[in-house]
Amino acid sequence: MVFLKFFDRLPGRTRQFMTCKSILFLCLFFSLLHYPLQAQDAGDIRISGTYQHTPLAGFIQQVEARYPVRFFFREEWMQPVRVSGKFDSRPLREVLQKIFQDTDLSFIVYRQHQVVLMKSPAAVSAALNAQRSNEKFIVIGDSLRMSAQPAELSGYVRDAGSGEGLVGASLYVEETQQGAATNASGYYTLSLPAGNYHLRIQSVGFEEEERSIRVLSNGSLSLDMFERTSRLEEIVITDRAEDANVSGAQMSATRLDIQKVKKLPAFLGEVDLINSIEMLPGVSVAGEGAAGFNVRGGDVGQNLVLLDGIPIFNPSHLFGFFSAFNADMLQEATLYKGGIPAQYGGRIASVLDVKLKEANLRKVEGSGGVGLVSSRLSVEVPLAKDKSSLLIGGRTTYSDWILNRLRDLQLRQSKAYFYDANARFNYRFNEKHKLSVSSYLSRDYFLYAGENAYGYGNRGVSAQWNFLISPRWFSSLQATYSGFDYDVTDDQDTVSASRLSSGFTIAQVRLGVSYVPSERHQWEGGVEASGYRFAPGSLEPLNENSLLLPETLEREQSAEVAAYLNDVFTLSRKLTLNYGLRYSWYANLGPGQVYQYQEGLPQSSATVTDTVSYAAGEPIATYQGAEPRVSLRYGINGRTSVKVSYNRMRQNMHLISNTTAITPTDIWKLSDRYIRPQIGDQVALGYFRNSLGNAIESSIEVYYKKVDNLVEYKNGAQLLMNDQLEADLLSGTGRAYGIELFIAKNIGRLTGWLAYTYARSLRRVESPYREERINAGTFYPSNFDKPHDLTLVGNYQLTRRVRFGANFTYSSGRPITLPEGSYRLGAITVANFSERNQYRIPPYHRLDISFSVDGNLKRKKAWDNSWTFSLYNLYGRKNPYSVFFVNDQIGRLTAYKLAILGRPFPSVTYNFKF
Amino acid sequence: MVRKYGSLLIFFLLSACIDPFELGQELQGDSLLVVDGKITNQEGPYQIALRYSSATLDGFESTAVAGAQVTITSQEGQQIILTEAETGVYYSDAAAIRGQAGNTYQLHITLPDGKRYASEPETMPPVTEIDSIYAVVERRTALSTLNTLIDRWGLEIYVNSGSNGTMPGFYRWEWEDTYQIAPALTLEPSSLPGACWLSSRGLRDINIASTQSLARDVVEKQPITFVSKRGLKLQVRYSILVRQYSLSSGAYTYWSRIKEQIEGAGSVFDPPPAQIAGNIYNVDDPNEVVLGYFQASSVAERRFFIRRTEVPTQPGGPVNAFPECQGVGAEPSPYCYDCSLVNEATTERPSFW
Repeated sequence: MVFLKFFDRLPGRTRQFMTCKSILFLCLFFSLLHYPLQAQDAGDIRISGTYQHTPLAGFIQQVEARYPVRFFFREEWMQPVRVSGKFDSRPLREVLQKIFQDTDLSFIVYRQHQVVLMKSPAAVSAALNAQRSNEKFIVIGDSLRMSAQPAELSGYVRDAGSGEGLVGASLYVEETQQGAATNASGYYTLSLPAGNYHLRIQSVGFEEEERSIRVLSNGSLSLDMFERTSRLEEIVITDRAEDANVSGAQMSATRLDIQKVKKLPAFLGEVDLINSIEMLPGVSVAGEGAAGFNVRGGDVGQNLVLLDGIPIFNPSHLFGFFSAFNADMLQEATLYKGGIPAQYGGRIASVLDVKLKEANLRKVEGSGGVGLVSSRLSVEVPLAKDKSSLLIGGRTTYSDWILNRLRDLQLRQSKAYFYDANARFNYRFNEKHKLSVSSYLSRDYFLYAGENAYGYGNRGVSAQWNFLISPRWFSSLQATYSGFDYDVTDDQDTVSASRLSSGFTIAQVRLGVSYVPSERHQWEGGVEASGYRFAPGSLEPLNENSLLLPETLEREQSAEVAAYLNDVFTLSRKLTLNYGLRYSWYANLGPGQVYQYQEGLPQSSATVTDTVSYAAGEPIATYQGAEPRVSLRYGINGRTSVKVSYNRMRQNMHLISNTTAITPTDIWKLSDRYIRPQIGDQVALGYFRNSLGNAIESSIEVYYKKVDNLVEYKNGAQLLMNDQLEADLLSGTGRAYGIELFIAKNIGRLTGWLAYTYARSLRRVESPYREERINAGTFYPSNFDKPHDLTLVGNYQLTRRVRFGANFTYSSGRPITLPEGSYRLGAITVANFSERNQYRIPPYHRLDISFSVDGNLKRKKAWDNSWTFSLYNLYGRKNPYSVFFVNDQIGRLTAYKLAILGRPFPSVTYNFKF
Repeated sequence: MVRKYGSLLIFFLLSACIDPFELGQELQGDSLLVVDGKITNQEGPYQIALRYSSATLDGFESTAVAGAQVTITSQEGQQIILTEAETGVYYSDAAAIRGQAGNTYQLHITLPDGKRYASEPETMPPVTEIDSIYAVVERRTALSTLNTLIDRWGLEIYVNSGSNGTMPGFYRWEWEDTYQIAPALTLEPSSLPGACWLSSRGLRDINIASTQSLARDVVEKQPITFVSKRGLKLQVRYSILVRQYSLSSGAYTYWSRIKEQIEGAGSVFDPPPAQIAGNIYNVDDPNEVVLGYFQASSVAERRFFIRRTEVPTQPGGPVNAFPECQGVGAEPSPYCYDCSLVNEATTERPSFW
């Protein structure tokens, strides 16, 4: 019955393509919003035209292009059928009857605008009738145990192909209009009075399933779903319930399906999760190719990036040109910008929760790709059928050849490489217990101009044990370890040949419990304990000739315990309240030495009065606090809702950087005696509206954010190997506010989104002392304050196998500090710079396009492949990355701008699956 | 040392392009007092220049500050009065007391409008002798217009110095070279000079080093300047005078920030530039921004000679001083016969030659 599955399609969609075809996507987005719903039955559409031996596929394409109707079919059936005849305003139903007269095909009109073509009509209608004839019920429970109480129905929804649990599949009981969604393990629960029901199950990328069930008493029902087969339908890229943005209580969050990410034009053909995130409203980046991203005016270090629960400290390769995630191995990613659920903590701006795929439990599969910069391969291996499987994959680069073609002396003498590897193992003991282990490893190496070598890497592992206590109680125990380290080697033949290294590790244990007492409550609670160890730096001589004095900065260590409780409380059909509280307790622990500074004077090496030593395990500083999280959803109607949220977050690890972009050698610092936890409060209000059957998703969100204890640096701060770091740092407050507009079209041949953000991000550092103030204690724009940010993303499915994609971004230039004059010291001209961030570089804009050709459409095939051609920066805009000043021969300062990717970059990537 | 980001990490710039940039925005800064000068343990006169910073980027429009009273005092009771010898530049009497390592000096300035400025007290650190100056044949790699790597060979002049003491030292080097040239072509008989001398100074180099992180106060292989095999400097005999100045930790930080600003290539991995604060302040209004640095340094100097015959022919080939005079066909320029016609050349033999 797999071919009978479809989902909401739109009337009039294809017709719109004709009217707006040559105009920009923009036109489409807006015109679609106003396109009225039509009540006309597709079968009554009148067709005109003359056809002579036209292939059926071509006929359908033409009809689809001209009339508001969608066809669903298997392409194999179409081959032999040709259309001939002259139709003069004949109803479609009649035309189709005529076409199919002498074939084994038939059709039904479904939901007014959809025409489903079927083979062997008798069998189909028999099956259809069987489903509706109330004869074949799946019986759940035992009639002897029937009671007046509602029975509990629970179980897993799985991918029939691989046996993996499906996350976020939605179940819907037609009779009671009840709904449920599967959790992270694919598990669901429903409470139903005894009776007969029709249960519909939907999950993105899978055929919709329907089951007739007879519920007698508590029982379980696990369901398998089949992947959609036709590529046509892969256009659909929404996830969860298609209206989750309106109907869910969560706001300011975006779930990115990796399929969607893969369709965006990618720089040098490298599919990149982080670059895709930068196209969402409220997310910006410091500069082209800069590592990390900024969410709602927060700095890069305020984002929590989790890969299967493993915190990733530097989610980028090659200093930020590529993200550290191998897209082939990912399932999905969710970015929370606000209204952050209570189970997440530790960073104040956002959470990016990335999940690896679960390997196929039934057959060996693999995928990979060859691109200009890197190649990747991943394999899914079932270890025990339906019980255990392993996903393993890696990626490596060969970027040296690019370096050797660059027009830059230092880069010609440079070398670079990176690799990353992932593995995920899972074992299902039984329906109740499941274990999964994920690991991540990455390494980057960069030798600059044959002199300084930089290396950095992430490594991490997480183990998660899911335990179903009862149908209503679900628990998971997770242990994670994550580490980041970097080193800088200076290998010149001098007395100061050195190696600097630094590292950071986190170990965490988390127990989470979810409890669904009724349809109205979903409780989540848990406790979490973390240990942090940080080696701020160690400098050692590299060889015997080096006279360098080995120096190791004191290690820092901290412990943190947090507990959280959260409930999604459905007060009524219209009102959902999501409220929770997280409480965290943090201690910076000995052994350690803490400098004491003279009271009433700015902290500096000159004002140190004493050094206090702490024994191992002795608390040096403790901080604790509550982090309330509340969001409320009011559904105005089925398509529109208003949501409001407030959240407070605390952060005890600080990324300290005095550079515009994040470098791997930027340091992380734990809260201590002088550096207090950053505390962020955010309120957000949003209006969400879906139209045309969830095909158009739109939202407006406004937010205001306030951050205390931001860490800023003094001008000229020395951050590396500084044992008095606090004397070079300043504490400030930040405020950010903005409005984000988002319109997405998720269904149809043309998909994509338009996002516009107006946002400000300001900071203030005040102090009684002049040297501890920035810009005289007034608010100034942060390095990533880019008020206007516009992104337009479009994908057009030209044919079933050929796809065209484009994206355009525009953003205000980032703030910079410019010279307001100059002076001479001897013969040297020195620029006299303004106060911090008082000017801006010119705006940034860029258009990328891509073109993909997929392999054949057969369902069963051993080798599936596709080609992607992309062109980054189509019109070669030289976006200024930075502006700098050079002393010329006669000592005059000349301003130059540096554009990194200032020309079009074509690329080709070959992807395969087996 | 380690944070040698300099122009580093513009990393993957593929075809990074650098273009002149029109600021396009009206940069309106204040005219700020700039103080530039130092006291050393060498014989005077010591020089302090007072200017106002310029509101443009070419630095020439800075106006001199005339009519100020400038005094250097030491905590040890010395007082040196400087007088204005040329507009805005104040000199001490050559016969004035010499600076002395270990003493702590302070600069005092009173402007004609009554504003009073002072420097933070600067203690003059001792300096170690320069152990050796030596030259190594090295290449500087450059990109040709055809985007191929080409090597330019020459002598890199290095300095080794150190006290072997355990106190960290901060140093800055300045250099002044003098070289003898001979005519490229000779006409017999000739009354033209057979030898000329030229001089140049590394006025824009900021050669600094710190031994703070080393076990001993030793500087090894500190590059001073590069002398190309192509060009006049190595034609006959080359000499370089290297002056090694001791710096206070504050002066070292100041010069390293100036160096960072001047050599930074605008990479986003460079710290964003900012105003560089020195050690001068307005006595009555601490909020006024004053630029520049008053430095107290002890000086060690050493001269180094090298003859053309001592410069190895390989690698890099022989010294080629006047390639343009060797051409066939065109008439050689007059300076090929008369070395005194080379710009800034003199026929007067320097005293140390």
